[in-house]
Amino acid sequence: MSDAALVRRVLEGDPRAFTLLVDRHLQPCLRFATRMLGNRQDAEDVTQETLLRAHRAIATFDLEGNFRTWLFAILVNRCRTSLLQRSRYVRRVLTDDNAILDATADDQAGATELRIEIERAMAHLDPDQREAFLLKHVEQLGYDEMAAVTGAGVSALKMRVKRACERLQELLGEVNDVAP
Amino acid sequence: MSHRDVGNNRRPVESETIDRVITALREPVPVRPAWRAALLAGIGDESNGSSASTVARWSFRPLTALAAAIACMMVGATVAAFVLGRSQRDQSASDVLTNLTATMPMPAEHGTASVVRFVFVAPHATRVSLVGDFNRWNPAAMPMRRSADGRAWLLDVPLTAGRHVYSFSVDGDLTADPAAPQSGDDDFGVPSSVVLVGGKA
Repeated sequence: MSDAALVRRVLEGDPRAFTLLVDRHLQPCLRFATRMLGNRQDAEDVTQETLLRAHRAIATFDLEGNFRTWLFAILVNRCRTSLLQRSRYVRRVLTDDNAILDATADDQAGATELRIEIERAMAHLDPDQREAFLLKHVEQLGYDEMAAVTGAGVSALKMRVKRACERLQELLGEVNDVAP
Repeated sequence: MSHRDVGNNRRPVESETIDRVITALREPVPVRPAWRAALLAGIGDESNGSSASTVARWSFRPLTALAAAIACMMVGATVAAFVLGRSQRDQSASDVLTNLTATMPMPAEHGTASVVRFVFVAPHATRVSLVGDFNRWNPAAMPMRRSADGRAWLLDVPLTAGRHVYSFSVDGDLTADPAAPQSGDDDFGVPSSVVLVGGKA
């Protein structure tokens, strides 16, 4: 069943339909928020707030539109607000290393180290670049979708993705030179 | 990969770096079940239209509901004899019960709501809960307790009069109640059953 059909069922009053929408989109939303904010707790808060807002505003969703795009527009705004509301982002990313280590305890040490370095490199990107990179390469949205989600133009988004790639290569190039 | 469209002039080793980054970042972030349950409960708390919509859906399917009611009464009466009088029954009745996977929920009048006993026979399950439109399909809301003999899982639930759709969550998998009528309006691919509680239904 399509997202639009599930939204219709929600509008008809079937609570199960929204649960199915949640289960369909919860993982991508939580992943984007976690990568964007670098902190699991904040990511859960933002994702929860996003889905609650989506539920409240479900009647405003255009049934001819793309539900994922609509939902990610809310999510991206909530992430931006969360980043603006805190000034200790880098420190929180670094303190989240323990969580990364816990989550990858069974991995090989080299793989874990790489993941930590990737998280750190992502934290050093400008938020606009990190946002564009995640939407394009991790959530695999098209540029038109990204434009609808972020409110930025396609050209600007392509430039942000390009610069994000270049910056990541700079930041991780040093690691690659050292690591075997 | 799609990211190459922004870096065609990049050296191969640099593309491999971005490939590794993308692969690592695409890994799923585990969803904590307790957090998901709290999220769904929060959404459910904000939802005030579910009961009205249930009534509307009910009015559109009178024949389906009537057929379900008749099926409930026939199956329920048969199974109730085994469930409610189980301790006084002879061995042959127990043998029949052994062959049942689950038992039809039996409503009992209790004020404005009826208490419905849900029974699911699953001796090898480690965790069973009841999910349905009455608890917003939240698997954390109504855990069932294991019976004294360890074979079945039980739960008494007060339900308002009307038609309720439910399933059992058995170690995380949704299972319809094989002893009850299947939900005729289920088009989500989720196995579910129907119980009709007396009164206005």
